[in-house]
Order: sequence, then structure tokens, then C-alpha cells
Amino acid sequence: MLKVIRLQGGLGATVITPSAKKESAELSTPTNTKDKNEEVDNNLQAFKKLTDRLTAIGAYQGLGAWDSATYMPEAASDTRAWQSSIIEELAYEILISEDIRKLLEYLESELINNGLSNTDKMLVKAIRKVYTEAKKLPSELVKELAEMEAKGGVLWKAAEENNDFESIVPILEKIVELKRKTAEYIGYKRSPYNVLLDDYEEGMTTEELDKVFTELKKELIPLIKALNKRTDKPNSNFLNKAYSIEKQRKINDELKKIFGFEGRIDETKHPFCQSIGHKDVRIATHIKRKDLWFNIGSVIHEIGHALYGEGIAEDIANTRLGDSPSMGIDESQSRLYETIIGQGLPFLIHFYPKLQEDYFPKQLGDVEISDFYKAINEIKRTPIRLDADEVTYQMHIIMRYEIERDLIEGKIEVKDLPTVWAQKSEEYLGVIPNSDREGVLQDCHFYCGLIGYFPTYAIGNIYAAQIYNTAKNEIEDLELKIAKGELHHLREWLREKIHRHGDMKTTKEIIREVTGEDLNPKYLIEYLKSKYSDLYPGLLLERNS
Amino acid sequence: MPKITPTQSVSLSHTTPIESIDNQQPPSNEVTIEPPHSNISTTITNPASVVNIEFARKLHEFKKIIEELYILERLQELAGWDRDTYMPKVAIQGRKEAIDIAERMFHEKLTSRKMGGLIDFLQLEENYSRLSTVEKALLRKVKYTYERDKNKPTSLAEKLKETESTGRVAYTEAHDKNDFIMLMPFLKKIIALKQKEAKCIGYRDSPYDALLQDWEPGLNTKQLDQIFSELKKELIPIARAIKRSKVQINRKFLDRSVSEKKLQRVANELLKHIGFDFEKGRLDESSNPFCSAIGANDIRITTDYKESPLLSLIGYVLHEGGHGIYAQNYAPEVDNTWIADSSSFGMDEGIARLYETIIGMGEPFWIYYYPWLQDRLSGTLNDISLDEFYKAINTVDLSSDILDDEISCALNLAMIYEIEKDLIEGNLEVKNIPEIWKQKRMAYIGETPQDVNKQLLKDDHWYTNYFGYFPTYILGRLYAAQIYNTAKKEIQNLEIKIASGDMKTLKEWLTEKIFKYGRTRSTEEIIKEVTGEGLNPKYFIQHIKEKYGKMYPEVAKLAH
Repeated sequence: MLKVIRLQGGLGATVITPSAKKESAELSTPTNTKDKNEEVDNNLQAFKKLTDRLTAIGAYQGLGAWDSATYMPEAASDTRAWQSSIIEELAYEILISEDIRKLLEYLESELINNGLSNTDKMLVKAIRKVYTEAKKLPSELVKELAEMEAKGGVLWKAAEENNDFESIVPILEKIVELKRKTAEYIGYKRSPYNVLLDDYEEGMTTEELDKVFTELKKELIPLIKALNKRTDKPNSNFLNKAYSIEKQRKINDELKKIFGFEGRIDETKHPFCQSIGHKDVRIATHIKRKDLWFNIGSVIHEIGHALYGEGIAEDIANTRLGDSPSMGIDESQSRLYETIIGQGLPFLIHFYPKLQEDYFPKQLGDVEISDFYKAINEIKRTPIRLDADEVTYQMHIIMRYEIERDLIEGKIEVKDLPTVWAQKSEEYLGVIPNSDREGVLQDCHFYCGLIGYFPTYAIGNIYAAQIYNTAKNEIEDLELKIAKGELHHLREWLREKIHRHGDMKTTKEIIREVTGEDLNPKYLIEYLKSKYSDLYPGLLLERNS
Repeated sequence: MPKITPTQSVSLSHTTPIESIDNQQPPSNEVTIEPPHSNISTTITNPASVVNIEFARKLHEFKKIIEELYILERLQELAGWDRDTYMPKVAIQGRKEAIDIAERMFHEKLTSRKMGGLIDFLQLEENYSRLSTVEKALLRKVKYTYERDKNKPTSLAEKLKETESTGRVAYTEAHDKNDFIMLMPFLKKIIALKQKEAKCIGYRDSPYDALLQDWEPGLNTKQLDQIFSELKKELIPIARAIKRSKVQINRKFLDRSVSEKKLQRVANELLKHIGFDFEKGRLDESSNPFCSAIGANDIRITTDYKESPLLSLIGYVLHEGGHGIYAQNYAPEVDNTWIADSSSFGMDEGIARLYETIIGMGEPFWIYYYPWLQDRLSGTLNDISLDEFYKAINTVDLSSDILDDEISCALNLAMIYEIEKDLIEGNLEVKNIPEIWKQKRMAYIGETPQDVNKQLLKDDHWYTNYFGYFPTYILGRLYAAQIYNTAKKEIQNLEIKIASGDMKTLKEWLTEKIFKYGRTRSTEEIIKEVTGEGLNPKYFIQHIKEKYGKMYPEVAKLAH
């Protein structure tokens, strides 16, 4: 157990030393440097002992989540949920403990803080942030919100199945109310939504997003309109022939090798990536017999996340700092790999002949690489986000962002969601959903309390294009290298520039250092325009005429 | 929060709830505390009573801490299962740290002053009498663990912990090099630590008694000395008779190779047949088979097909299956609490042995399952008769370094017990182990070891803090025979039922008599209740004499 020792004079801070035998013993102020160093060291160790516990609980949560999505018997899901909520409480108790408060104060005092290593400083900073937020929120509010979110998730499943929006209006109203309360407790500038956004994308604001998204809308809405007019749709039926599950598994091993991912690939319902600890990042995919690209796309996407996790420097990997700094930057890596690389021509030049000759000569023997490229990049005019292509995907996200922002700011009401949804869907995508199931009920995010999360998908896409643009400038002949199957140049570059830092730098710092500027939609717009006018010759001309 | 209600557990719907068996039930109109797997809400129907409120509050606190202890333990179990099955090997260091941290948190929570106060409070007669059976059992387990750990200085606990992990590494190296001598210095160190630990725990007659408590509460060297001398008296002549025997048994076909896919299918089906529920559990592979209880409805076992494909079905699959069936059949009020556990290691081993040895190496089982197995293995065993198969799996091989038949294994356990007891009591020096080993081997088994290093390095128990664990292996065999003897009396035509493929009746009987109680009853209580007497080696000896008398005429002659 930690023993608390009151330190007199000097810093006046309460110091905790793990080695002391008695509780509340008096310790005189150290007079020489050696004692002083020892004291700092003891307190730092005490602090790390606690933060290591938080990290270990995180690892158990990660393992539990991975396990419940892969190998756990279904009948044990209640047990697992209970186990997970109890250790979450344990983590909360550690976080808001007196010990943490005192140690933070001690380690933050200027004299002490100046002497800390950079990593230790960052650790103190990171814990201070979560500590402050946890302290600001009354535990009843946290508990009630957690309950409502869990309940909302369950009710959403039923509502989605029955196409019954009415049934979840009350719970969503409650969640919105509690989210607003949360924002009030934490405190915000301009919009309460900023508090929610900050949870997933530290430092991001509605102000910045509004600006960036306006730019995207201005460019993409006309592009989508032009694409919707096109009649020269590619033939993509061959992607839905029967593809042996066993062979698809072997392809996944191949992808592992190509991209240099070292962890496990398991199978589950909804693909995911889970980091459990240093050298233990796992992904899971869903292999569909009659949808070849679903598995390949999912695996490449998750590998993008996983390479981030695997690339975090060893000395911080198993600590509180061993994580990406935001959802947006994490998503930028998965999207960079999935769309820019995986659905790009250079990669297909290397990969497609293997796929065609070694795995599926019967199904793909007469499909040219250019046809395959077109098929996997087919423009889809759909009200469903998960079916969307690269271009419309951004619009799906922007409309969700606008809706949830307005909801939290009190500009629209829950009951009006279906109407607002239909309007925006028509305006941004050119389609009106046939039902709420294809509209406002299609994603679980709102109903399980993931409000503020959606924008990170678009932020991820924007960062991806922005980062890739720099990569092309800095890595000589990058695309030729990719076409030769040499993915390690990009991987090592990303590792060096982004991954290894973990949570030691903020997303904004990283992006600025790597690309020389802040979040800028220009690169995504350029990338989409150039790719799709390649796929649909004359596209940009049509727009201008 | 899971609500586990009796109706959810189909297999138990017909069993008598534990509470109704117990006549010391608390008055139901006073204070109700839900089991820890619910919200632990405390309902007080008599708010006027301050005493009631105090009692309810403390009981609630007590259960809250135990809930956390239980979950910290279950998560270590999950982490261990994953480490041995699917975790990438390179992640071992991080995993070790995570497990250590959970264990330290566990230790701190358990030995806190608060816990001490709660135990003292609940032990008071007026409070104790109001506890339910489950709560009493929880208190018993907590009290035992608390007292054991409380007096252990942290430095000793840390040292023991450290030797455990370094021991595993040292053992692996020595095992690979087949060199016992290089482990001697380490073994000396660990014995000294164990002796210290025994002093902290406290004992009356032998320090070894203190070490036994972790594995088989209540067991002592006096009892064990008696048991083993009885076993030696009976089994040594049988071993000699078998050594003289002219019976020739063909075992070669047991090494025939079978594809892993086929074995997996057979293993899964076999487990289903004996009553392992795959909706609440799973089977995976690991190099050292084990059974892991991760929580209610989540019992996982592993096997290894590589070393001995056909025998793995018995030695691993049926054995671990036995452990698994036990863990899958606790009463709902026991499940997901800290007493969702077997009554002791010996009893747990007893059930595993019952399924592995008594059933799985018995004739009735294979009368039904051998033709089935032949069919599943499409041709591999078609030229081997049931009789040949039965004899092969039961062969006694005294000259082998790895003694895994019932007779030589029991004798081997006797000598290991004597050696480890002498080591802990300070009557034997580490450097003399190989010599003593050879002598005892000659005296008990009647063979000089071909390779004494290989024999000494067969198990890692001594190097990983498992002193005092070996005897549970023999207890398991004794319990299994004693329980089966009662089962045969109480279940009409049990062996005919088994020979007709009915494994359900036995499972239900075991559930009703043993499984459902979890740790609410001690092994001693269970054995007395079920068989009408305390642990008695006679049933095991009887079983050996009958079974091997049929196989070896020389053994049958001994009886006369």
C-alpha cells in the first residue's frame, strides 16, 4: 500500500513515498541534493505505480473486448460486461484518489517538474487532463450517462430492426440532455459541442470544423452531382462471385506480409483493431464468401490502425502514453492504407496479379486490372454511410456532424431528426432515404452516446490525404516503390514521423511538424478530383460547363 | 450487470437449491443482500434498527471488495488463457507485468485493514448467524486467505513471486539440457524461502503441513503418511507381480498418426457427449493442457494433440473435460462469486480423474465409444479390437521414465511426497536428491531409472512455488474411486448406462452431490456427505486390484 508522508517546509507539498513503513510519518525537508533526488524519485515511482495500474486495467479491458468479439462463448456476455464495469470502477477510484491528487501537485510544482524527463512530464500532463475532467464530473452523472448509453445501444438495435424511430426519442433526448450537462460541468467556449468533440479529437473546435467542412461541401457537392449524372458505371459484379473463405484467409496472411503487420488476424462480425500491449496488436476481419473486397478492404483498414499501435516506441508502449493522440489521426492511418493505398493503382499493380493468378484465376482470370480498379472504386449513390464511396463518404459525415452539433446546441430537437436527415441527405448526396432505418437509424453512434465521434472519420480522411501528400514529396518515387510491393518505405516513414511518438505529442503538433500546416481539406479535394477524373474522363469538364 | 437467475441454468433446474438444504438460513424478513453479481443492493425492511443498518452496510462493503477480488482473479485467468493459447509469444513481458499488477492490487485489497475489520465484524456470533450459506462460505475463504497473506512480509511475498518467474526460466533451460544439477543452487534457495513461508503461516507438526493448506485445506502429513503407507503396502506387491507378468500387450498402434483436424472433431464431440457445454465454454490448444474458469458461462479447456494423438483424447480431453464440467455446474447463487470454485484442488483433480481414469480408461465407456471412435477415425483403428484397445490404454509400464499408468503413478507420487516433505522438514539435502530418488525408485517401482535427470525434471512444480501440490494428485485418485464406488451403488445399472452411451445420468448425480456446492462446502464435508465416510484409500486399492487382476493373472493370484 502507498503510505502518505507529510513533507514540511520546502515545497509544502504532500509527498508520498512507497517505501515508508508507517502511515503519516513526518519527514523533514531533505537538505542535500542526494536526498532530494531520492525523494523525487520515490514520488515519481509512486506515481508510475498508479498510472501503470491504469494502463494494466486498460490492457485487461482491451483483452476482454478482443476476446468477447472473437472467442468468448456468447452466453458469457453478461458476465464479461459485469467484469468490465467493475474494473472500470477500479480505474476510476485510482484516478480520482487523494494519492493521485497529491502526486500530481508535487510533480507539477515548477522546481520538480523542470527536472523531469520529457516522457515523465508528458505522463504528468496526460494524467492531469483526465484527472481534472473526472473530478469536474459528478460520479452520479457519469454513472447515469453510462447506464443510458448502454440502454440506448440496446434500444437502438430494436428500433433499427423495427424501423421505429419514435421508440428511441425519449432515450436520445435523455442522452442529449446528459451530454449537455457534461459540457456544462467541464466548461466550454462558444459551443457545448466542443467539449464532446475534445473527447475524441483533442483541441478540435466547431469553428475550425465549420470552416473546413464548408470548403469540402463547396467542392464535393458539385463533384457528386456530376458523378451522379454519369451513365458509364463500371461492371463490378465479379466482386460478388463465390470466393472461398479458406483462400481469403490465405490472402490475409499475404496482406500481413506485404504491409509488415506482425500481430494476429482473427474473425468477427464487425472488423476492428485492438491494441492489448506492446507487441500485441490484433485485428479482426469478417470474411464474406460473396464479397471479395469487403475482407480485403477491412484487413487493410485495420492494418493501418495496427501499424500505428505496433510503431509506438518501446519505452512508452506499455504506459499511459502508448496510444495515438486522437481518433482522427488514428483513423487517418487506417484510411490512408485502406483508400489511398489499398484502392489505389500502384498497390494493385503489385497485388492484383497475385490475387488473380495465385488465388482466384477462375473468378478473376478475365478481369483486367483497370476493370478491377474501377470496380473497387465504384461511385455509389446510397443513403447508407457504410456502403459509401470515398467521395460521398465525407458528405455522410458532414451531415451527421451538423446534426449532432445542432442537437447539442439546442438548435434542433430530437423529434425533428428524420426531417432534417432527409433534407440534408438530399442536399448533400442527392438521395432521400426510404425509411428511418436507411436514415437516422442506420448508425448506433447517437444512441450509444458517441456524440462528437463522427467528425473524426472526416478528419481522418483529410489528414490521410494531407500526410500522403507530404510522404510523396519526401519519399522518392513512393508510388513506384509501392507498385513494386515495397510498402516498408512508407511504413517506416510513418513510424518515424507519427507512430513512434504515441501520445507524447498532440495531433495538431504532429500534423504541423509533418506537413507544415494545420488540418487542410485542400489535399483531400485535390486527391479526389484527380482520382475520379481519371476514373471518369471528362468529369471536371462537365462540372465547369 | 448480469442477472443470473435459476431459470437460466437449465441443467440445474431440477437440483435442490443450496439454501434449502441449509437449515441455518437467515430470517428472510430482515435484511436482503443480493449476490455480488447483481447491483449488490441492500434492502432493509426494518429501518428502525440501527444494528440492521450497520450489519447491512458492512456486509455490503465486504461483498463489494470480494467482488473486486474475484474479478481481479478472473481477469488474470483470462490473461493466462490468452497467453497460453493465442497471444503472440513476443508479448510475454507486457503480459507478465499486467498479471503481476492485478495480483498486487488483489493482495492489497485482500490484506487491507478495512478487510480485517470487516472479517472481525462478520465473525461476531450475532452477525455470523445472519449470513446465508454462500456468505458464510465467502467469509471462510476470505478469512483463510487474509490470515495467510496478512502475516507474510511483503519482502517474502515478493521474493517468492520473483523465484517463481525466474524458476520457470531456469527450469526450462535445465529441462532442455536434461541437467538437474544446474538447478540445485536454485532449489536450495527456494526451499529456504518455502521454509520461511511455512513459519509465517504457522504449523503444529511439520512445516510441510503449512504448505499443504494452499492446495488442500485441512490436510496434514500425518494423514498423508498413513495414506501412502497403505498404498505402498498394497501396490508394491502388485507392481512386482506385473513386473513378473508374462502378459504381452500390443501398444504400438497408439502411436499411429491421425490428422489434427480429425482429432479436433473427435475431441469436440467426445466432450459434448460427456456433458461439457460448448455454449458456455470452449476447447483450444496449448502445449500444457489446462482448464480455465473465466467466469460464469465461460469455462475453457485446452488440449495438445501433438505428443500422443490418441492418448491425448483420454489424458487431456477427458481429464480437462472433467475439470470443465465441474466448473460449468455450480449453482446459480454460487456462480460469479468468489466461491464459484471446486471445494479443493484434490476434489477438482478427483473429478478430472474420475472422467479420465475411472470412466475414460474403463471398459463400459469404450464398449460404447470404441466403435464410435473407429468410425470417426475412418480406418485408423479398424484392425484393433475393443479388447486390444482397452488393454493398450491400461498397460502398466514400470520401466518407463514417464510413469502415467495408475499403479506406477501412485507409487511415484508416494516417493515424490516423501522427498519433498523431507526437503521442507530439513531432513534431506538437495545434493542427495538423485541418490534418494534412485533408491526409492528401486524400492517402490522395482526399477533403476534409465535416466534420472529426465525423471527429476518431468514436472516444474518445485521450481514454480508448487511445493505441497503433488499430494493433491493422489487425493484426486482416491476421491475419484471413492465417489465412483458410491455412484455405482446409488445409480442403478450405472455401468450399463455408460456402456449404452448415457453419460448424462452420472453428470447429473455429480452435479447434485458435488458440483453445485462450489466452495460452500469443504471437501471433507462433501466426501462424508456423499460417501458416508471420510477419505478412505480402500476404494482406490479395490479398484486397482479388480481392474488389473483381470488384465494380469499374476495380480489376481496375489489376492489368494
